[in-house]
Parts: sequence; C-alpha cells; structure tokens
Amino acid sequence: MLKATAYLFLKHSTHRAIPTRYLTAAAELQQDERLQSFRTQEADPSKHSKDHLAQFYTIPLSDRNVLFQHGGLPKTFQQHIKTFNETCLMVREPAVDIINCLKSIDYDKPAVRFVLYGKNGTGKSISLAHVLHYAFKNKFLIVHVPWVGDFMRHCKDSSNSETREGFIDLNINAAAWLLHFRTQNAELLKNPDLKISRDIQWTKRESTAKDSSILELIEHGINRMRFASDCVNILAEEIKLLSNAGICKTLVAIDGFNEFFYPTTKVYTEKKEIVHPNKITLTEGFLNLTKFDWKNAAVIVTVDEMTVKVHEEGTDPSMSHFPRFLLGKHGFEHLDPFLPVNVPLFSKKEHESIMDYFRERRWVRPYPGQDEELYFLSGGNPFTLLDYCKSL
Amino acid sequence: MMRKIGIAFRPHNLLNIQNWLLSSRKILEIRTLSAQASSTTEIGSIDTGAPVENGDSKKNLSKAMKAYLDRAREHDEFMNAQRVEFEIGKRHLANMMGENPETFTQADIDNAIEYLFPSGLYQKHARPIMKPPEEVFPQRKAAEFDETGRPYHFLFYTGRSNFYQVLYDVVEHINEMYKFEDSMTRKNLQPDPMLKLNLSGTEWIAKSALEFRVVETVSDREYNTFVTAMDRLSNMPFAYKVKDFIMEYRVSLMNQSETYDAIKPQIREDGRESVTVYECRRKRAIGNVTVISPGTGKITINGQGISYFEGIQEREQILFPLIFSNMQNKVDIEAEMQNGGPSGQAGAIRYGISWALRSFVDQETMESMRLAGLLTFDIRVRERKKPGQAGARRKFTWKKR
Amino acid sequence: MINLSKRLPFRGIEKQLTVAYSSAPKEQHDEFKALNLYKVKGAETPRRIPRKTPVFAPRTTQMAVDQDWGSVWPGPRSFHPASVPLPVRQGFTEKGAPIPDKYANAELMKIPNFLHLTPPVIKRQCEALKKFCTPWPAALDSAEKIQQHFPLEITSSDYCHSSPSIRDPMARIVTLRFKLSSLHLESRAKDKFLRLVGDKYVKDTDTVTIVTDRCPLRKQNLDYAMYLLTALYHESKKVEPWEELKSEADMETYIWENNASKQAVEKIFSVAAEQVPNIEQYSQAVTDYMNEGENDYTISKYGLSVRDLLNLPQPIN
Repeated sequence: MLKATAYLFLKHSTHRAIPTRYLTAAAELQQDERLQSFRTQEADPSKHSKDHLAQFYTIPLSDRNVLFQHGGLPKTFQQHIKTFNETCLMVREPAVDIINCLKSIDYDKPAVRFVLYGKNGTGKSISLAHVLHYAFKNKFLIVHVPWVGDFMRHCKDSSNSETREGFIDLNINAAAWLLHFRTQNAELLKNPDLKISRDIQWTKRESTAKDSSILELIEHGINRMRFASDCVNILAEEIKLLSNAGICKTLVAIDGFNEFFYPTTKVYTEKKEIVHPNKITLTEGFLNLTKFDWKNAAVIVTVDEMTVKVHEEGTDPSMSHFPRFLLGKHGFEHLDPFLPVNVPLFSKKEHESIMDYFRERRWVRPYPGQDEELYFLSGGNPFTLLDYCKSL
Repeated sequence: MMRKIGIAFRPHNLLNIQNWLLSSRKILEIRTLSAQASSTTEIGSIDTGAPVENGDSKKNLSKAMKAYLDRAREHDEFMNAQRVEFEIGKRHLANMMGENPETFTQADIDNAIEYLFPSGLYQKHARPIMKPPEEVFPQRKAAEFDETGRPYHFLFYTGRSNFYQVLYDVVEHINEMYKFEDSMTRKNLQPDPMLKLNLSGTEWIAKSALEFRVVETVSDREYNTFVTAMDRLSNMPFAYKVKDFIMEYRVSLMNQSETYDAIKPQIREDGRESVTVYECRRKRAIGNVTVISPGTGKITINGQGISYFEGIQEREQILFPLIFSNMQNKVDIEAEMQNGGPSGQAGAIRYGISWALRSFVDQETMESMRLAGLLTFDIRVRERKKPGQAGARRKFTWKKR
Repeated sequence: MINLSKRLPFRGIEKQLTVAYSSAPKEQHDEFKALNLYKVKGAETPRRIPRKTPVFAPRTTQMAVDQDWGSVWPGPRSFHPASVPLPVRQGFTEKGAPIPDKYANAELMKIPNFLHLTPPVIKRQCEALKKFCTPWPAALDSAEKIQQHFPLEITSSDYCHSSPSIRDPMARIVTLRFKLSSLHLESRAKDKFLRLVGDKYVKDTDTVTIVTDRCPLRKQNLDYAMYLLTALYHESKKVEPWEELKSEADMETYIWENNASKQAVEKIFSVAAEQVPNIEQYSQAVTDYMNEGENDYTISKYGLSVRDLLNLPQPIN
C-alpha cells in the first residue's frame, strides 16, 4: 500500500486529482489500459498530428492562467475544468488541420485567414483555444478577442468618440481587452524591440513618444480608459508594422467574428438608437488586423450562429451555420480568400473517447449500452452530449 | 292488445326468427311456428288425424294464445316479405349499375349505394345503407311454447333457456370427460401433448356478443358464471375432444392477429431491404416512416438528423423501439412528417418505426413490443372545448353568490 | 303506361249519381211544391261520398328487374321512394331499433343522389357524344412531340351536380402552363421575364403557371391569360434606358470578374489575376459557392481551391 502511494506521488503532478481507481486494491489492469487510451501525454500542440486524434491532452495550469485568464473558454467548459480539476482538450481534426497549415505557411507572404464554422455546440471555441495554445508555445504575439458579443451585446458603457465624428467608444470593454492582451503576451512584451513607430498625442498634455515600448501604450490605455478604444486601434496598426518588419509573428484569433458585420447590436447612442458595428471604433481596429496586407501573421476567426439567433426573436428558416450567410456580403468580401475549416459533429471514436473520459472522471455512471444511446440521443453534438451527461 | 298471462314474458320473446333455425346449431332447439303451424293452422278446420287433446285445446284456445300465434305468424310473414323485397332490390341495383345480378355481393351493394347516394355525414352508421333484413331488424326468439302452453325447451322455466342450455352443455361435456379420463387412466394412457388445446391469442366472447348469440339478456353475474364454467372445461386434460364447442365461444384478440401480419420488405436499388409505413399518426402529426436494413443507425427526419427534435423527450421516444428490439445500429430510418408539434411527430415516428420493425424482428420480440405498447395506435386527441366551460373539462370559476 | 284504371273512381261516382237521380221518386211537376216544414222522409238524397284518393301500390312493384333504368330516371331529381326499387335505409337510431326505411325519410330526400348517372347511363351518354369527337392524331405519339407542337397547356374544370344545374363558380378558373424554353428568349430578356413572373416560375420543371379567375366567364379568363402571356413576352424583349444602371448589387448571379474577390486576389499576389496559378479553379469555386448556395460540397471545393491558391497543405484526412 505504501509503495502504491509512493508510486502515485512520483507519477502525477500535484495539481491533477488522484484518480480513485489507484486507491482500490483490486484494480483491473485492462480497464486502466482502456481508460488510458483516450489520453495522450503529448502536451505540446505543435506535435499533435493525425495520430493523436480523439485523444485528450492537458493544458498545464501555468499556460492556462496566462492564456485564458480573462476569457477564451466557453462557460460550460470552465465549470468542467473546475469539476475535473484539470484543463483537458480533445485533439480534433479542425485544430490539427489549422496547426498543420500554420506550420507550413510561408510567413513572407500576406497573412492567411482561416474561418472556423460549424453548427451550434460543435466545439469551435475550443478548437480556437487549442490553436491559441499552439501559438503560445511557439512564441506568437497573440491578439485574441475571446467573444465579440462582449463588445456588441454586453457593452459595459459607451460614449461618443472624441477623435472621430459620429463614432462610439466602448471604454471599459476596450480597457479590459487591453488587460487581457497584456496578460497573454506578458513574456513577449518584455522584448525591447517592440517599439511604437510614431508620436501619439492624446491630449494637449498627454502623449506617448516615438520608440517607447508597446507596453507603455497598453499601460496608458488601461489607465486612461477614455483613450482605450483609440489605443486599441493604434495598437493594431503598430502590431501590423512590427509584423511586417519581421520583429514578431502574430496570431490573430477572434471568436464570433460575424458580429462585426451584424447590423443589430445592443450598443445605443444617447438618443437610444441602435449603433451599427461600423460606427464603433473597436471594430475598425480588429477589421484592420484581419486584412491580408501584412506579413508574418495568421488570422483565425470563428463565425457563430448564436450571434444571429440571439438577435432574432424567432428562428429564421433560412438560418444556416455557413460562413457566407453569417458574414454577409461585406464580411465575406473582407475575408475572401479564406480557408473555411468545418468543425464537425463527433465521430463515433471521438464520442467513445469523451465518454471514457467522463467515466474515468466519475462524471458519469456507467451502464451497458450507454455509449450508443447517448450518441443517438445527442446526434453527435458535443454540447448536447454535455447537457445530457449532467444528470447521469 | 297484449294481455298479460301468468307467465311474465315480453312481447318480443314470443315471436319467431326463421333464419335462426337455418344456422346449423343443434344445441338450441327452437321450433318455428311454421313447423308447428302445419299442425295448428287448421284451427278452424277439422283435423282428422289430430289427437284428442288437440281437439279439446283448439276449442279452449284463449284469445291471448291466438294473439300470440298470430303475432308470430305475422312477423314471420313480414320477415319473408322483407327478404323477398331485399332480393328483388338487389337485382334492381345490379341492373341499375350494369352488373351481373348473380354475382352481386354485399360489398358490391355497399359500393353501389355509396356511389348513388353520396353522403358526407361523419357517422358511417348514419349514411344510407342497404342490408338484408336479418341485419336490420333485431333478432327475436321463436315461439317458446305450443298452443297448449307446453314449452318446447326443457329449460323454458328458467326464463333464459338458451343461456342455461349453454351451461348445461358445459356440464354434460365435463361429465363426459370425467368418464373418458377414467377410461384412459384404466388403460394407462396420457393425454396427447401434441393435441393440447391452445387458447393463446383468443379470449372468451364478450358479454354483448353472448347476449346477441343467445338472444337473451345476460347479467354480469351470469356472464361470470359462464366464463368460470368454460374455463373449467378448457382446463381439463382432454379438453381437445370438445375443441369445436369451446372454440365457438372464443374470439381472437384483434391486436395479435394484426401483430403477426408483418409487412413484406421491398428491395431497394442499392440491394437493401426497406419497409415503409404510410400515414403514421399521433395527435395531428402525419407522415411516412421508412426503415432500411441493414443499416448503421443513421436517422433522417425531413432531411435533417435527430437535431430536428430539440427536446430530449422526443429523441428518446424515437430511440425507444430501436433500443428495445436491439436494432439500434442495424437499421437506418428515414421519416417525413407534416403537421403537429414535436411531441406528436415524435410519437408518430415511434409508432412507424415499431410497426416497420416487425418485419425485421422475430416473433418473440414482436410479442414483447406489443406488450410494451409500441404497436398500439395512440388514439388520444385533444378534447374539444365545450360551451359553458372554460376548457374541455375545466369549468368556469364557481361563485357561491 | 298510363294507368287507365285511374278513371274508375270518377266513373263510379258518375254512375252513382245517375243511379241516384234515376231512382229518385217521380215528382209531379205542379206549379207549387208542397210545403215541407217538417222533414218528411222521402227518398234519401244520396250521401255525397267523399272522393277517396286511391292509394296505389308503389310503382316499384310493377318494375321489371331488367328494365332500362336510364328511361325510368332520366334526369336529376330528388329521391322518390315509390319510384326507386331499392330497399335503402337511412337514419341513426338507438340500439336495437331498426333503421327507418325509405318511405317518408327526409334524410334520403335531402341527400344528393346520382340515380340519373348510373354507369350504363354514363356509357350511353359517352357513346352519344363520341360522334362529336375526333380521333387523337397518330403523329403525336410522344411527350416531346406534344411539347414541341403544342407548348401551351390550358386547363379548366367543369362541375356536375345532383341538381339539374351545371353552373358552378369554380368553372371559370383557367390555368395556363408552358415551358420557358419554348419562348426562346435571350439571357437578358429571360432575366427580365423571370423578375416579372416572380414565383409563378418553377426552376426544376422550367414551367411558368398562370392562373386567372378574375373574370366571371371562362372565355374572358382565357383571353386575359393570353393577354398576360403576350404582355410578358413583349415587355421582357423591350430594353429600357434605365437597364444600363444595373449595378453589381442587382445582379442575379455572381460573376467573379466584377467582384471584390478578384481585386483581393490581385492585391495579395500583386499581379494581374490571370497570372496567378490555380486561379481558374478558385474563381470557379467562388462563383459556384455564391450562386449555388452554401452546402458542404461547395464549401469544401472552395476550401480546396484556396489551399491550392495559397500553397497550403491539403486537409489531413
């Protein structure tokens, strides 16, 4: 018994919960092996390939704290993380596909755009998180918007822009995003080469000098919320210049990109009129970043049905999850040519893998025929599956 | 005009039914008046060969008795006239429709009447019909006693002679079988297990059917007695000897006879077998369901997958027959549904799947599906709101004052 | 087959009267009649026997089983029980009671009946009409030939009732159907035609259906339908001056040349569009994607073409 406990401490890192199966004396070896087959020990996304499909890998706590401190993982998933005491992502085809492409892009060419699309609940945000982890491991400068809906629908405050006529600033949201950006790129921002190219005059008394580091720009934006939105736009320009010059390589990841083109937002002017995203300063910055006129960068974007569904009262029969419909004409023209990447429903293998994971985590009590039944009932949709497993 | 005599009887019991005699039942001996009439019609005339009592009774024939006999005769004649009219009418109808009168069946009659008198009335019973008089006029018993007042049936004084005749027969058979059993035991012979009476799939005729057959009213208690007696008879070891008698009072269960007639699968272009059930209904939903075997468990509803249904209850309804019969990954399902809501459509698809699965599944599973209620058509429909009430059942708030 | 016996009762009465008069006591034709204050019983004046309306046996009893029913019931008429030799019954009674027979049955009289249109009668009528019909032309034996020679299809309905009338308001509806390909329009005219016709055109079968019912008479509706057809055809052939102003947003199909997609590609590669490798595949994929709508097939084709265009690796599966 002592040997077993010693073995436990040697093998597992502290943050991971000790699986209860090792504590029972009569542990079946076969079951262990089967349960282990859904996990992979490969924690570096760069090395994930076809062989690792349908397996779970863990994101170390340190990485998680840096990347997803201020969002990036769906709410339901965050609850799972808390319950299981670990951040485990399934290696799936779309993420591996994108990582494969990222590895083989010629970064001297204009930026390549990827669009992740799929039905509701198939795992677009998680695939995006997987790619983000890859970018983090490979020292990309990450520009990550966790959820555009935060800007358009849950804006904390809005005010008229000072620098532009007729535009609206979202101060708190912009400042929060700048904070998020700073946390994610804390390591890279320490690099002294990241400098601003020009003088920026905020007001008569405040200015940021040329060649001061980007970190100062960000700090200014966070402290002075009044200028946060403009700060974001300038930051976008600067990042482009830096990437073009080759000083850093950037990955732009935006979740819910089609909201930038959807005319109905919950942002109101003082006169209680709905503001089109075109008239929000933040939009301009991010749209700038998703163009193809810069090098040393890659852009990954997801389009989500949920954005449109929430706006509409009833369900529109013409609703589809395809990118052209969700982006609209302007969005499509902005992003074209892009690489559409479908996030499919679970295959049988993936389904078995996740069921094994739940059983191992004691989230689900096993009974015979469980897998087929749940696969049928959920139709392969990951979100629905999570929903049904809640009560098992 | 009806004068009551000591024996309490109802007028309709007195009259005869000619066709009842025509059926080949020897159990109930009813003599028609016409048979008796040959000996009694000559009431007024001098009957040379008549026995002495008859001669006396003729003169003492009471008015009530006369009336009884007359009534019976009239009814007899009336039924004959109706029969004749029906036959002639049938010929006329065949002539009208340009068909051959010799081979004009009742089904043809029904079709012709429906063609000539189209009625959109909802109740089928309220539409025009042309049926033989036996089906139109309620059955009546033949004369139960002759002109002397002597009843024909030995159980007449029970009041329900035909019914008690049945019970009497049962007892007779039981006694016979005891004797037979004894003789077989003496010879050391056992009942042949191959010939054992199989009563599965049938049940005793209902009380109303028994009443109809026996042309008498049967109370609940008496019906229970009947059932007990028949059960006792059929549980005897040599019951197969009186199989005909027993089977006359057995009726097959409708569900089961339908259950075992599974639909024959058709062969599709890609070589797989498929069964389509048309017009699957539940509440207002209606549609077709196709089950294809062998398959992989793929399901398509109106072109979409199972995500067509958003709630888990509907999805489980569709899953249930497949899991119950262990055919989940072995068949493909295609369904097209219209009208109704999600619950109704799900119920209709479930019924369609179960009904179609009968062709791919063995008898035992079919039987268990029937017992599980998968093969029963769910007739429940939304109940109509009535005037003077808030809903179908809910009344308006009752106010004391 | 007039029943001569009808005259009998009248005859009887006449006879009775003549008898009565002839048997009246002979009165002296004096100047004055004797005063009869008190009723003296003389010859009794014959009682006027009220004319008994004779109740005959129904006509059905005298019908032969092999009669010609078409002559007996020549036209639509409400049900008459004594003339219809069928023992038909109708009614809904409580349990045990027999269904009411045809005599004095209001239900049977209310129901429409088609006793005047039994199958032999219909056959006879068709035979009679045949001499007004011409045979189907032998040369028109296939659907294609019919479509080629007679591209217009005009449909209208006639209604017959159980009453003598054949008038029905639905009989005025006229449906005109034809295939668009038989009009031989050029692409611009065809586009204009389709916009004018709207949802009366079905793409799968290439048919245009025009239903007219705004006029009270069928002939008028037919004329109106032909007028519509003529007007549509000529309108679509006309070229209006404002058609020059058709912009990209009005285009019914997506043409890659005119769109931002081409410009984007040119900017990326900094060369003219034709010189970019794999460009035809890409432009075709984009055109299909926009025109045919989004489905898995068009999107995957688009994805593959973009991969070739931008030199990205193929998908891993």
